[in-house]
Amino acid sequence: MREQQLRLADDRTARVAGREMRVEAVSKKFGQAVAVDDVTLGISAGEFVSLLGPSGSGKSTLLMIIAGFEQPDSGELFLGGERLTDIPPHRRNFGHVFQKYALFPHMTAAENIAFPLKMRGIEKAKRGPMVANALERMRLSALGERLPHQLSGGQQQRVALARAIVFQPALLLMDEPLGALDKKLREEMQIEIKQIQRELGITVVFVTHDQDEALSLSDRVAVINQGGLSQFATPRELYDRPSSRFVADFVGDNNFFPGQLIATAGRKGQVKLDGGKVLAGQLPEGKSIALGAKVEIAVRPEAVSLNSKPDSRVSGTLIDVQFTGGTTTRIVRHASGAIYLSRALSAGSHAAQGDAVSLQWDETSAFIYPADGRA
Amino acid sequence: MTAASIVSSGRPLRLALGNRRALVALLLLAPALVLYVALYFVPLFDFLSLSVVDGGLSTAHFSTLLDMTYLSVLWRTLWMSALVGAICTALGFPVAYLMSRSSAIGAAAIGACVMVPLWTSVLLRTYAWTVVLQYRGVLNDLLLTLGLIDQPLRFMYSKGAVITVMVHVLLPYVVLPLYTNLASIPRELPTAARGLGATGLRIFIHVTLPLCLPGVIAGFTLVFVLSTGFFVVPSLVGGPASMMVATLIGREISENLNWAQGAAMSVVLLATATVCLAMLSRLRHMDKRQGSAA
Amino acid sequence: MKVSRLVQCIAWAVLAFLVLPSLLIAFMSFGTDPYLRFPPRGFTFDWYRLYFSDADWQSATLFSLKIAIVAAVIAAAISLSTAFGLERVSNPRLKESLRLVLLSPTVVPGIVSALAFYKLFSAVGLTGTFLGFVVAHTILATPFAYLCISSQLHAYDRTLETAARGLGATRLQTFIHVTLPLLSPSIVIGAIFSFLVSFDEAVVSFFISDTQGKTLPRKMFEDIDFSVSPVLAAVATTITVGTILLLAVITILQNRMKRIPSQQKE
Repeated sequence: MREQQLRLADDRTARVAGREMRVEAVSKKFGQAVAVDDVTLGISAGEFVSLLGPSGSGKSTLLMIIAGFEQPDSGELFLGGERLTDIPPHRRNFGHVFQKYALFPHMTAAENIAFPLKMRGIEKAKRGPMVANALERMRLSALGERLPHQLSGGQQQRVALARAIVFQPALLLMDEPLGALDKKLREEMQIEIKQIQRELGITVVFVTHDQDEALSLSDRVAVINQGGLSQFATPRELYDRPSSRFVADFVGDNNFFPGQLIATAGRKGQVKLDGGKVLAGQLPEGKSIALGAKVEIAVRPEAVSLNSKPDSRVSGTLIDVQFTGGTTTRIVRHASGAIYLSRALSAGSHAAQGDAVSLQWDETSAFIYPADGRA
Repeated sequence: MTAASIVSSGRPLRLALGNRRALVALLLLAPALVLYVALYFVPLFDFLSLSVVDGGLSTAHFSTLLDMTYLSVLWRTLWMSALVGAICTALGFPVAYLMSRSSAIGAAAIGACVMVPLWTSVLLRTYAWTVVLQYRGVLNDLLLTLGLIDQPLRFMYSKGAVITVMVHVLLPYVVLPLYTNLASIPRELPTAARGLGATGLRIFIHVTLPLCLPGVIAGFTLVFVLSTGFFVVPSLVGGPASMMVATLIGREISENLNWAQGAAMSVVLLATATVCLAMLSRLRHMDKRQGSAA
Repeated sequence: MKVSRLVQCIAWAVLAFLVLPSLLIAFMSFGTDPYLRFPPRGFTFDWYRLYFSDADWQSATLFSLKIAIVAAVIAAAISLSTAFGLERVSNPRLKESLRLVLLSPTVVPGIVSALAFYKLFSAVGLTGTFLGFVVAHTILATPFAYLCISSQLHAYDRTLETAARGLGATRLQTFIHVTLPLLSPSIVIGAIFSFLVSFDEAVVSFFISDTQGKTLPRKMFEDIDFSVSPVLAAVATTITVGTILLLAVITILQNRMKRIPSQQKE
């Protein structure tokens, strides 16, 4: 039975191996500190999900709970309807790729990859072809007999990945696996990971603090802040419709204009800025903000265009123009000292450094959030 | 075992984990604790307690220590140990310094010269010195051949011989902590001081020395404490006039069968060692705290 | 900064002072005269032959070797167990006290330990016995093995154990396949140091030996006083060479340990 499950069969059989992973109302405290605060997540079979958050946000603890290395104080875990909460880590049949690879230094690359098979009691004769297959898939065939310290960072990373998938795990957990690699290698590995995930149809939970990595790899991203789940959505949604001030700020760049909510009409709100000007924006879905509450209007730099004729809108001085390959970013300083960004594909506006400019945007790309709201 | 059976027993298991952990810890510590308590601490206490028994409880054996015969040995042990500590520190410093400023291979070679004697038996090294220092020994032969003396000199069984051999035996204990200390001083620091206009000697006094003071103190204390308890060297190359307290304790018991007096001296010896090492460890803690504050 | 000429000269002189006596003995142990003299005349292995054929020297050497091997194995096993035990003690004060208990034989002067053992062993008839020596030497040697093993246990990257568990290993499998192999160099090093401590131990042996059961250091202790025979020089040189070989093994193992990733985070 087990052998059947484990056989590295052709990709079509592997694709159906996944089952849905559910995290229900999980909380965890370390002493007084809340590490994970009532998180509920449903991860579909074959889905690539990232846990994205700043360091110390609790995303790694959540991963450790899913892996079984930490016990939640409350809440439950389910895999395809089976309760997982009390099953010890070595019986969960999950693959792991750790932050610094955690390759066993006293074993060769091939021995490292064979380790999970050996632990599952697979005969030596059967292990050989499976390991060879995994090495080949990772383009490591020539390096099987090397010890980890004889491999480059990228090679070690691939061994770690091969070791994590060789036994067809029900779920692949990755904790900042690319953090130790330089930018170019990291991008190559991202493509490789994504490709293998597609080929094997494996379900992946990927922890990272790098938003670009999360957005480019994931089917869905769970943004974690102070232990809580801020938003769980596709990369597109996360960027276009951030559900909170935190997500709007953490994912991508944003311009924030503080003020006070003075009127609402349906999903539209009027905000009186601290400077006295009144601007309109979209109110968040499913949340009501009291009139008079302190709010902030968020506008993405791409939605902002510059107008050299000062008008009734927010204005300032153009202090710098940064050309970054595909786009050009213009930096505007408001009289209050606040810095605003405007980003355009082409050269865009012809305003020169030192010019007085005003910022323009479409009302539908301005979003209103309660100030300092966590959720 | 199926998942279901694990699930059903899961919660209570989790609660009991704290106790299980303590039990496992106790089981793992048990061999050492049993061995040390039953076969070390109990015998130590049994032996040392002889010092306060004289019919009933008594401090008589400690008062006896104030006799000139005992007191002079105790005093000699202290000053000779301090001298050995000072000489070791003075001689060990250049070695540690050179080692810390050498290439990896040089440092390894010096390290071998220090480590091999450290792990060679004290007895063997003392023996080597008896061969050198004897009346018809290597040193006398050499001096006679060179024509520096007409008659062999008596080196053995003197304070000088004891101190020389003890310095030889204990030198590694200074070199190693000093080396660790010196190696941790950034090499740029003395250079920076030079850039600021300081000269060689001043750099040493104002920069290097203060920074390696912890190593100096640690090395000196270690050698001092080890010296006070030295038995082999004073017994073999020392005479009556250079007797130290450990040899006296040994004689008191093996020749005079005066266990109580030996125990009383042992208490004094142990107390000296404990106080010195406790002071050293406190100093280290303070040093660490200062280090982290800065 | 360069080390000044003067400091260099002093340092090399001190190193010579450290090394020369043992070299002299080695040199002299090959002389043909029936007493030690410098410079030695002729060249012979006779004194070594005498050492290896003399019944008294043989029995003392074998007795010491047996004691040292058994004491080293027990010391390493106890240290391993204690290192893992102490890791599970969370109260820092209790932990520190327990560590002090284990390291206490390095603080207590040798003569005091020796007399404590002497008093106990005379009372229960263990003087001069294999068991008595093993008990005393194990206690004296354990701190050295413990320091080696516990420092490696604290140094190496513990996420390797987590990784093993995550890849399907039980606690026992993790210990056997990951923890133990990674600790094994330090266990061997600790055992070698313990062996040397026991083999060279002279003070306790001086008191708990008797005419039948005496260790090599005790036998040498007796002979140093009375004889100038070159056999003693041959014995000393043999032991020194053995010590150097064991230290070389330790150095090789230490270099191997450097490959094991350590715990520090960037």
